[in-house]
Amino acid sequence: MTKKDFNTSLEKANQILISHYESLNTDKDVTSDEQIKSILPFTARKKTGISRHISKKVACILAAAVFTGMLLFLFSGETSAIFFGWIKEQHKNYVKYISPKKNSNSAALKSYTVNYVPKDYSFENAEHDDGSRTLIYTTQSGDVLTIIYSSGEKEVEYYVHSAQSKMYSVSVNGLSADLYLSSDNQTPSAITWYDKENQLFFYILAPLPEEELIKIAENIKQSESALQMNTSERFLDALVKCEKKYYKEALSAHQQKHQKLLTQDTYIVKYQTIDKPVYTFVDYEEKPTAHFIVEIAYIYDTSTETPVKIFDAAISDVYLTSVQSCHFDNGGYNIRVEDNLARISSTGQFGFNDCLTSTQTYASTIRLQELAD
Amino acid sequence: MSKTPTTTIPTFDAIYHTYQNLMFRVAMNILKNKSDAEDAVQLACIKIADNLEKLTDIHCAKTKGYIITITENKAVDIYRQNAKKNHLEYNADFIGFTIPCETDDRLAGCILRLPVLYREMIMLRYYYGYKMKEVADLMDISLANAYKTEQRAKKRLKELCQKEGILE
Repeated sequence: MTKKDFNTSLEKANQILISHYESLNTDKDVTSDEQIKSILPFTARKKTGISRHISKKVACILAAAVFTGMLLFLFSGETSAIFFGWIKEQHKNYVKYISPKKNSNSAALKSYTVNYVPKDYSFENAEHDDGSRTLIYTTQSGDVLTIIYSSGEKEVEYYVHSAQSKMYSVSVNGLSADLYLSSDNQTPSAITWYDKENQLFFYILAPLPEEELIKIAENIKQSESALQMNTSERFLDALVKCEKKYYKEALSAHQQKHQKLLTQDTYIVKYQTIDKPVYTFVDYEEKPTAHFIVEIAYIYDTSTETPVKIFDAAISDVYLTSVQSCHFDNGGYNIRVEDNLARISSTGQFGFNDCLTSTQTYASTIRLQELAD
Repeated sequence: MSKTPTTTIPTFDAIYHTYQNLMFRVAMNILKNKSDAEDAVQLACIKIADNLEKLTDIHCAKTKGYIITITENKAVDIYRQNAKKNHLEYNADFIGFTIPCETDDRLAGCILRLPVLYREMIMLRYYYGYKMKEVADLMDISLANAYKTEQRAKKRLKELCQKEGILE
């Protein structure tokens, strides 16, 4: 079974779904069109259209806000506290952490890695946006470990259900943290803390005991390469410039050899080099497959802080189809350039179409040639 | 003279007036109650209005299917709330929720035989290409719950496919 088959079946399922509900038109149990028009909301608003709908929504939001305010008044004394821009609201049954919406240290998000999860948990998925990262790990029995870290750049709220939990103040790598230990099997325990230096809020949610939660929390660390190099933004800037300059050149150099592969659905991922196959794509039913070409076209020479083009780079034809997007989230890299040799080692996480991910470690030595102006 | 098919960029008004009857029928099919169906349509409308930018053509099958899926989801939410209020057990395999299908496409048949929430999850994730966070927002469930639902949906789909002999 291929992804194409799956897409065809989804399309077919959608058609059957539509036909089924459209066929209800003649069903005696269902109300006639005219009756529906007299029942449904918004129907009398043809002239004013969406404006009334919006005003109704606004009214609902205002009402909700007033109601929430009343709840706050009723149930919580101090209710809210501000720590480093994040607002912590204590409600009767839950605690809400609200982002400040003004921090912009999302670059720091990239430098953190999760170095420990309990052995029963395996990586399931990761979602990233400009202001936060969410990592999901699951067990075979269906338990979910959620790790979120957020710069608070965008408007976001995180909830901890506290009705069935007791809150304790603990320490995570010297930072004060709130630990919510659940007393029932239905509610997961949680731990939250704020890293003032990097302006990041952390939130872990899982049905785990205190020791495990703290152990996971203490093992979320900035990668050593990020700490040593501290050039990640400059590195990325250089990459962008380098891409602009050499993209066409790199493309044409391999175009003849890979003409068939260089289709619209083909992406070239830079900064990868492969001595041996590092991609083990999973079965179709688990995650959709995709094909693409991986080549390393240039790297960044950290000694001179300049991009260096790589000739005779290893090329891997990892052939994927229907790729809409692909990202390489470098969990940590180490590039050393000496004479004409570059030693690159990296652990990275790859995602395609936001649903296929794999974490790989690989290393290679490649020959370099400096670029002529 | 033949008509050239045109693509209409959807507005909320246009979607509402095109699909209001269909949405109501979807909700009525599940809830069997006019006022509950009305609520379901209203909730679905709000979700659709919030996600208008995702829709490209008002008349395409994808848009129609999406509107059905969202309405179905809101109707099932109300059904579950009602069941809870009345101390009834919620049965995801309830006959009104399944889509009777006769198709040569065995995989499509398996997808349609999934319990409604699992089918919606599979469709939203893999047919409409929504991110998990977006699915969680659409379905009004937590992200962790969404992942759990997806995991179960995939497991159930795999079981159905094995039963059908599509997978070993």
